[in-house]
Parts: sequence; structure tokens; C-alpha cells
Amino acid sequence: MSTDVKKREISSGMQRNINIAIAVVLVAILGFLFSKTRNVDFDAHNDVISNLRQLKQIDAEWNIDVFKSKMGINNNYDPVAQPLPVIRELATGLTQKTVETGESAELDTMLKSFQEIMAKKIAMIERFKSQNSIYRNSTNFLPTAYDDVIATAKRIGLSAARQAELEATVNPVFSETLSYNLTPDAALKDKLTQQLVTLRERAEQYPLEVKESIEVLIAHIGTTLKQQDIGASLLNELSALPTAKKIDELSDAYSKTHETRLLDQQFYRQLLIAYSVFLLALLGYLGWRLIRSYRQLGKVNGALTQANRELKESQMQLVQSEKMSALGQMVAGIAHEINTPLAYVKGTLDVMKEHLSKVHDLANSSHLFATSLRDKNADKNELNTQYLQVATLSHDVVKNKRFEELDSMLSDGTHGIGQISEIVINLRNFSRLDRASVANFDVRKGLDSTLLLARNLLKHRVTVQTEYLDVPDIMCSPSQINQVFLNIITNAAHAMGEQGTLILRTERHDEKMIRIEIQDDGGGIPSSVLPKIFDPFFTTKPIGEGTGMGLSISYKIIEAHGGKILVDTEKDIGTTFSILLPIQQKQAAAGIIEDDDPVDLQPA
Amino acid sequence: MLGGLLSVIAALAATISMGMAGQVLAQVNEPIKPIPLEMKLDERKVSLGEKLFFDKRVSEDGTIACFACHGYNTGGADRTPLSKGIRGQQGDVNAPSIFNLAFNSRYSWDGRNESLEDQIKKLMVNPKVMGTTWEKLTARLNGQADYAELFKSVFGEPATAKNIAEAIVAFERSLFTPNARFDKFLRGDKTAITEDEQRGYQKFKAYGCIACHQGVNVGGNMFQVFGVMGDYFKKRGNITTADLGRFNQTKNEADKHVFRVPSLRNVALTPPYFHDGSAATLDDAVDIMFQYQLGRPAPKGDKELIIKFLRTLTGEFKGKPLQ
Repeated sequence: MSTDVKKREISSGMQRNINIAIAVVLVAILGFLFSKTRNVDFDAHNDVISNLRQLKQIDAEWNIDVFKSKMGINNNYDPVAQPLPVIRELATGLTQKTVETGESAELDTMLKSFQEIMAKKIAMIERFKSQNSIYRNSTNFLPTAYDDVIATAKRIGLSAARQAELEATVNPVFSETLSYNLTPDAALKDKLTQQLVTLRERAEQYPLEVKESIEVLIAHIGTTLKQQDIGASLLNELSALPTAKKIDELSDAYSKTHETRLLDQQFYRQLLIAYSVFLLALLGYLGWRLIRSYRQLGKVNGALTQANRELKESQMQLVQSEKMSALGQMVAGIAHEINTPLAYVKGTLDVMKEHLSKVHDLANSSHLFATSLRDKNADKNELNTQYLQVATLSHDVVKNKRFEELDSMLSDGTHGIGQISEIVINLRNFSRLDRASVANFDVRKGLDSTLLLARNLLKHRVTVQTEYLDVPDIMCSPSQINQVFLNIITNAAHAMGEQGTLILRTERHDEKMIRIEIQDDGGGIPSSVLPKIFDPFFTTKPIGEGTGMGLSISYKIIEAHGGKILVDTEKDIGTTFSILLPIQQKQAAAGIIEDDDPVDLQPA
Repeated sequence: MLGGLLSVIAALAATISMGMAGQVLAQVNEPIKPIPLEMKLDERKVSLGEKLFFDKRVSEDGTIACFACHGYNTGGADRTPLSKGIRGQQGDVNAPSIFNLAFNSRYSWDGRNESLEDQIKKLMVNPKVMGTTWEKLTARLNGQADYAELFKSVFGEPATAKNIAEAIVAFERSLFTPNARFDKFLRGDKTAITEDEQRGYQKFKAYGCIACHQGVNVGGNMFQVFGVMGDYFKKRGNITTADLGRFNQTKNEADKHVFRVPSLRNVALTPPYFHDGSAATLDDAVDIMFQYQLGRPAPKGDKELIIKFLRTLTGEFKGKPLQ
């Protein structure tokens, strides 16, 4: 049986765990779907898009500034340098946002490629600034350098013819350089390069100072040519760098990702709604089941209450019949007890009646004789006869000690009536109908009255020994306690059969309790029966003889008194019932005991 | 699209204003721009940055603070060819001025740092400069009651690499020197500089110095090869890694000996000159520039005028002219 219970407990525990797990999973799914519907960060997306727009605008302005620098409209590089920190900040922000929002690897690659191109552009613009400075410096310096050549020639007093020759040599190179600067042309460049070689050769013919000034001019023309080339290719490369295209691509990709997310979100939102409906339905179903369960529970509960009430009623009837059965037994015993002295008193009275008829004769004769003596006309013979009769009769009364005998018989009758009276007193003591239900009670007296009432049951078969040690009066309901004693003693008597010894003991158990033992030397209680002896309706007696309520009620009574009832039994040796009762009652217990119906009828 | 349109309008406006060229407008269109008179900064960060700037506890051995190489009375630099870091170690380059950093677009001689924050982050852990680590520095600062409290009140958190750099950078941005005599001239006060100085400015432009030294900071916004018209390093000899300049960052052959064009603001106060501190005087520096950058000899008179002009670039710090 216990393994079954355990199995059931284990399986119900597992069921609970499974239910919790299912609930957790359902909530987790709800949480997951909910988070998915929150997945789209509009702010972040707007930030990214506006970031990209700003980048594109700055990039475009930057291009213009670079060309303005190239054209000489910008006379300083601050406008070209200023976008750098802004671009860096925007690009960093973009990367952060991309990382934060966990965009795709594809976007990541695009972003990296954009940043690479942007870095390239930054490096190129740095180079452009350097190149452009050198180029503009040399170009600006060319007229001065040309003037220097002519002025130096004049200063050192070169002949007019040689001056003219010098000018004719230098001037075309100078002017062609200027036109090359305006319209860079590959053919012109080749020609100029050739002319510079020639000019360098010719410079040797002039005095040192003139030669040096020509060399300065040549160096700057050379720088102009070189830087013009570098500048052109830098600007070509720069304009070929697809930064704007990359930004557009990035914008598109971000928007696409965003759209995908929006679609995802929509999908998850629909899923969430569907799931919510499912959960609601589930909750509804569970609620319905719960209500149904409650209804069933209510029904069952009603039935149980009804059954319980009926049980209580039938128990009360049973208790009543137990009481009646006990009463019946008692009445039989008591009738027998009273019958004996009654017969005795009756016999005595019969004998007394016989004696009294003799005394009646004497009284009649004596009266007649006395009347005759007073009569003067009386016959002497008549008187003599009457005298003889009186004498005979009084002789009989005195000689046969009629009065002594009457007196003795009256004493015997009184004794018989005394015996009956004693039984009646015991009966009263037993039931204590004339006293408050809770009182100080000497259990020994209770035992004695009970024994007297049970004498009929014990007589001639059972030797009763009492081993009373001094015990204090206890607070209890004497009639209930007597009922318990009678129950146990009756059971003991039944257990002992033809012959036996019943031993009653009382003793002080401890400070608070007394102990009453009722020991028989009967057959003992079989171990198969022992666990059930206090169960209501359990009986080993034939149907009609026992209700099975005796010990059950006894148990309840002792329990209600705050006491204990113990059984010690051994086969063929006997059984001892030990009753422990408290000397003082607690207030609550006293209340329970004082109750008219002290026996709690709930099954044990 | 809109941006492009705006730029076109801006360009048109610039052209129109050039056409209307009056005296003042001409000055407005000069390639050098005045330093703004005011800057908006978070004063609490500035003052925390100032405390850090002057605190030797910032360096690993407690021997130097930022101001060791960037003194207020030495033009924001240290007047030493090569600056010294912790444990008296000699650095690789000449310390540039700490003034007017807000108007530069790159930092360090080789432009290795794109922002002042980067610059701070690298200098702190450079074994030849502050020689510490960010773990140690933050632990050191957070262990000091005064700093712990300051960082908590300014940033709402203990010191971190990020907020230390932020505070120092805020302070650095507050170190600007407006109101140089030349700036007053640019703003329309024709008497702010002498005629010689004005002629010096004309020479500065005519010789092409302006090609690189332009903008608010008279430089500091671009890179240039040191030795455009001649090989400076061959002449000087004993080439070091630092001499390779930007090449050290990009490994691009074209970037060899490329340096950030230094700002000429307060240039008269910051000898010696160049990344190697090789030019002891302004005179030497201008000579080298003429020879290797401009590729021509500098007539003595013109050079003197240019130097006179350069002296007008010395500004005011907290309302007082720098000395």
C-alpha cells in the first residue's frame, strides 16, 4: 500500500514539474515573440540614415573645396582640413550603430569598404594639399623668377645684344610654361621638357649669377611640370573614388535591412497575435476546466458532508444502542442482585406472619379471659377453661421464644433491605445522574461501584483482586470514566471464560497523571486484531451481542480527558489495559467533557 | 544634392565678395584667418584637465607633468631641441607648442594622431614620455581622494582612460591665444602692425611661404615634404627614424620626410625650430625654409621683413600678451 502511495506521490510531483516546465516554455515563447516585435530600432535607423546623408553632403562639399583649392578660390586649407574630424566622427558613429544594432555581415563588409575608400580619399587629399602648395608656389613664383633672370643680366652689365638674346631664349620657355599651366597638354609638355634641356645647356654660356638665376627658373618650371602631372592624376583618382556611390549603397543596404526587419517585425507581430489568441484560448480552457473541477468538487463535497452527517447520526444511534446494551446488561445484573435479598426478606416476612398468628391467638384469649374475670356472673368452669387456654398460649409464646425470633427476623429483613439499598446507591453512584457532569472523583470508588454492577458477570468465575495505591481525586466526568471501566471490565470478564483473576490497580503515574490498570489473565488479543480494537464498529463478538463501539467510545472519552489508553497483551497470558488520566483538566478539555455528548463521533 | 547646391551658392557668394574687393574685404579674404576670441568649453572639465596637466603624479616616476615640455612662458613649448620624458630620457622630436591646438587638424610632427584624444592616449603610454599604463594611471588617480571626488563630480564615475583624455583635451582646447597684433590687423585695425610688418606679410605671401602656412593657425592643417626643392636630410646627415616623418605611419614611399606643416602662431617664442630642433633662431629657420622649401636664395632685407611679420603672430593668453 505504501509503495503505491509513494508511486502516486512521485508521479504527481513529476506532473507538477512538467506543468511548470510547460508554463515556462509558453511564457518564454511569448517573451521571444514580444522581443521580436520590439526588434526594430527606428531611432537607430534614422540616426544611421541621417548620418549617411550628412556624410554624403560633407563629402560633396569637400570635393568642391578641393577643387576650389585647386582653382585658387580657396586661399587656405582650413576648409579642406575641417571635414576630417566630422567625417571621422560620423564614420565612427556609423560603425558603432552598426555594431549596436547587430546588422548583417554584408553591411559590415560594405561599411569596411566605404571606410577604406574614405581613408584613401583622406590620404589623397592630404597629398593633394602638399602637391597643390608646391605647384601654386612654383607657378606664382615663375614671373618673379623670369624677371630675376632679366634683372640679373641687366645688373651685371650684360651687353644689350646678349640681354636680348637671353630674353629671346628664356621668354618662349616661360610663356609656354604659362600656357601649359592653363591647358596642360602632353605634346606641349614634351616640347617644354626639350626646351628646358636646351635652356640648361645655354645657361652655361652666361656669367655665374645669371646662370644661377636661370637654374632657379628651370627648377621651378620643372617643379610646375611635375606637380601639374601629379596634381592631375591625383584629382583624376580622387574624382574616380566612389565615395558618394558607396554612401548611396550603404544607405540602400541599411534601408533594405530595415525593411526586412520591418517585415520580420510585422510577421512576428502577427505571430504574436496568433499566439496570444492561442494562449487566451488555453487560459479559457483551463478556466473552464477549473470551474468544472470546482463544481465537481462541490458536488462531491456535498455528498461527503451528507454522508458524514448520516454517519454521525447512525453513530449516535449506535452509541445510544451501546448505552442501552450496557444498560441492559447492568439491569440484568442489578435485577439478580436485588432478587436475592428480596427473596430473603420475603421469606422472613412469611415466617413472621406465622409467628404473629400465634401472638394474635394469645392476645384474643387474654382479652376474653380478662373480660370474663370482671363479670360477676361468670361461670367458674368457663373461667378455668379460659385461664388454661391463656396459660397454654403464653407458654407457647414464651417457651418457643416467638418474640426473640420475630425480633431476629425483623433484623434479617432490615439487613436484606439494606443490601437492596446499597445496590441502589451504587447504581446511583455509577451513573451519577444526580451530580454535575464534571467533578472531583476518586477512581477507586468508581472501580468499586463498577465491580458491584458487574458482579453478576464475575460471580463464581472470576477472582477480583484490588491493589489500590493512594491516588488523589481527579477532575473528570465520573459517569464517563465509569462507563470506560465497565467497558473494559466487561471485556475482561468475557475474555476470561470459565475461570480467571481480574486485578485492578491504581497508582500515581507522575506529578500530573494517575494510572489505572485493569489486568486479566484471559487469552490475550490476537495481533491481527490488536490494531483495530479501538476502531469504531470493530467487534469480535457475534452479531447482536456487541456494537463494536465500546472500546472506540472508551478511547474517545480518555482522549477527551487528555489521557491515554494503552494495551499490553500476550497470548494465553492475558491483557492489561492501562489508563492514564490527568489529575487536573485544562479549561478547554473540561468544556469538551462537560458537553452533554462528550463522545466525538468522528471516525478515529 | 542639396549640399552641392549650397556649395555652389557659397562659391558664388565668395566670388561676388571678391569682386567687391574693398580694403576691409580684402583683409577678410586673406589666406590667414584670425583666432576666434572666445571658445565654448565645459569649465569643470577644463579645470580638472588643468589639474592633471600640472600634476607630476600623472607620469610613471612622478618626475614630469605635461607642462614640463609645454610651459606657458615658453610659447607653450620647452625651448629644448629634443624634449625629455620620464627618467630623464631624451625624446625623438622637438616639443611643438601646446597653444591653439584646437585649430590643427592633425597632431604630432608626423601627424600620427587624428585627434587630441589619440595624442593623449599615446603620450601617456609612450615609454619615453609619461611611461605609464592606463590601468596604473587610473588606479593611481582613483586612489587619490581629491581626484576620486573630482572625477565623480565632473563625470559621475571614477577616472577612466576616456575621461582623463577628455578632461585634458578640454583644457588643451582652452589654451588658445587670440588678439595677436596681426589678428587685429586682419580684423580691420590697419595700425595694429607697422608698415615693415605689413611689407613682411606681403613678402611672406610673395615668396610662397603662404602656400603651406595658411589658415587660422598659419599652418597645422596639412602635410608637406621637408625638402621640396633640395635634400635637407642629406645636408644635415645622421638620419634618424623620426626623420622619416609620415612614412613611419603610412609606409608609403611618397610619405618619406613628410611632416605636418607646423603652426607659426607664437613662432617667435618657440625656438629651437623644426622636428629635430636644429634651427636655433628664427633667422636660421627662415633660411632653411627658403633653401629647401622655396628653392631660392632669400635676400637679407626680405628675410628680415618676413621675420618682423612673424613676430606679429604672437597672441594673448588670458588677456595678456605672451612673452
